[in-house]
Amino acid sequence: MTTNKIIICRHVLFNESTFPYAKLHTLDTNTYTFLDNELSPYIINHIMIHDQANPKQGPLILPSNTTPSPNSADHTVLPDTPHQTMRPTTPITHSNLPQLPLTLTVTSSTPKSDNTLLNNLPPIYQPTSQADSKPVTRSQHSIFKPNKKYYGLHTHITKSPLPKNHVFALKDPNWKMAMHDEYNALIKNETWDLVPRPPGVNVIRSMWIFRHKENSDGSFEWHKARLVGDGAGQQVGINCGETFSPVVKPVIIHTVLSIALSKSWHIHQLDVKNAFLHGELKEFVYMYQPLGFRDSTHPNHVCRLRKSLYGLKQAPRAWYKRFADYASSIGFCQNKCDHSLFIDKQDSNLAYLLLYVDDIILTTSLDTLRQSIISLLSSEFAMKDLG
Amino acid sequence: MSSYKTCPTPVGTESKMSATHSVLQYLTFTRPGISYVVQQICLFMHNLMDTHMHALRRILRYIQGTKHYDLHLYPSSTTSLISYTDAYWGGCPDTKRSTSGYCVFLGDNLLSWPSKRQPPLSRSSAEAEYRGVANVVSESSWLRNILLELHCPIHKATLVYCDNVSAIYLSGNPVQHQRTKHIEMDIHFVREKAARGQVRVLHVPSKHQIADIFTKGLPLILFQDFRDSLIIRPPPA
Repeated sequence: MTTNKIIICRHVLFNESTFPYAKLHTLDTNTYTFLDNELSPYIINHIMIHDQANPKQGPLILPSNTTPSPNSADHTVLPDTPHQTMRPTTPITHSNLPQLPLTLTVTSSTPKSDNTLLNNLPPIYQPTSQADSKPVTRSQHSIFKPNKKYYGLHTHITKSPLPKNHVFALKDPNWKMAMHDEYNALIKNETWDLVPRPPGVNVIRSMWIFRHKENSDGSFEWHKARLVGDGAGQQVGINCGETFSPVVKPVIIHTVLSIALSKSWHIHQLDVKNAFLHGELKEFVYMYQPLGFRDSTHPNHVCRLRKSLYGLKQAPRAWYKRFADYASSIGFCQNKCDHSLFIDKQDSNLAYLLLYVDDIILTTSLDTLRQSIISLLSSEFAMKDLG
Repeated sequence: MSSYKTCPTPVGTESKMSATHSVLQYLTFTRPGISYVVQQICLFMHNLMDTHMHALRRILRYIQGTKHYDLHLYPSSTTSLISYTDAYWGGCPDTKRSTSGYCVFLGDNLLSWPSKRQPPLSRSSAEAEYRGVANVVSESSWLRNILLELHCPIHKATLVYCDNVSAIYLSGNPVQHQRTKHIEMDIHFVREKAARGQVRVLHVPSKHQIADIFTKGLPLILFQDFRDSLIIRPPPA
């Protein structure tokens, strides 16, 4: 009997922390209306005083009758919980136990109280085995919080550390795959021709840049290897001409956005993938073969670049020129005030296109016009539509 | 003196901070409220002192507290250009040059908001303000050209609000007297624009002069008021 009682008390405590407050509130009101109706005023006062005088008093009576040590830890939690009014009523449920003189007075006058209270109790109030009364950790409810230290390790690819140079990179399977991807993309794009090295020309070096690409939440996404030319080895006037490339001014962006807003046009944001690789070079630029990818049949040949590479001085300009030419071929005309603003006017329909290096803002007065422009652009350049 | 820590060199080098300030320059694209102080810091980037470092940290602290603020654009009429211009005469303590700032609105939306130290030295506050008016008139005529090419031309005159009465008179009347003799003729193109009806220069009381925020540090209430007028707000709930 005594052990039973201890367990029940503990469960009352547990449920106070784990159950929603709403249920407890209904319990409170029920018990109080009940008391108001049937108990004598003396007993009500008794309970109320008992409640207000010292919240610890109620539960502290119980351990005095029973085994003390494990309970004391639980009871210290009690004063913090907002439903202290529950406590005086809990002994009522065990009114048949003779050890408590305080509860005996209550039960003698209210034989019906047992049923009503027990009906209101949630099922967990039922006494269970001793083992359940151990503290329940979150992992037992299979609630896990990933440790931030190990972000990126949970993805299916393990993250390789950034290599120092191409020799280390080629030993790592992840980086080796990234480098092969980049190399194959460049070959497919016909970026260069292998030619025997002409005498007396300036040959620039190439480098591999290794990056971890991350999602917007900082988690690891993929390994990226990029082959870049060494622009510092270029000589102005010999293998690079004009390098200036206009970008759109923030004032123009604000103007176009507010016009589009006030006319409630749809605004679309596009992103050109590998934008600089699209640019075509007018100048003769020679580059050593990529490190680690030397052609075994022609080891001494150099690459004559046809398309621009990242890192070249004229890469932004070559890309801009390529885009401007294409835009004018599909009907856009360049603005005189800002050369990165392209306007297309077909009858009464308007389309504005803003170019900021490889980012594009497109807004049109007509949805069909916008769709046709996007499909035209993506047929020429690989695009990512950001909505 | 004896309790001071020793230091190997008399002056520190501030290489790390140049990255911070270039990031802040980008931030002025969406946060006009800090453009004055960022411009002031940029003036001293070649030689940052402790005071500038404190200012820089203060900007970062301000941004930390107002991370969620943004420049908002709302649908509004696109038929009128309104601009406010202000100058802080002798604002630069070292060179005594004036700081001028302006902001241009298309309808209710903010378009342009530079804050700049004027290159020539002005002898009077009216002259500094008049230069500010000239700057904003040239900017707004550029904007009118752009809007014309965007096929939404503006037929109304651009309104320029200035809080200096003398500058307003100077822009309207071809007066020439002792104090304005040295003002170069190229500034007087404001008069020409005003005569052709493209620009109207009007007076605004100083307490409603929004462009003040681009010329000097302001008390908190005024700053919050002007920042709200520039439509820099936390996102709507």
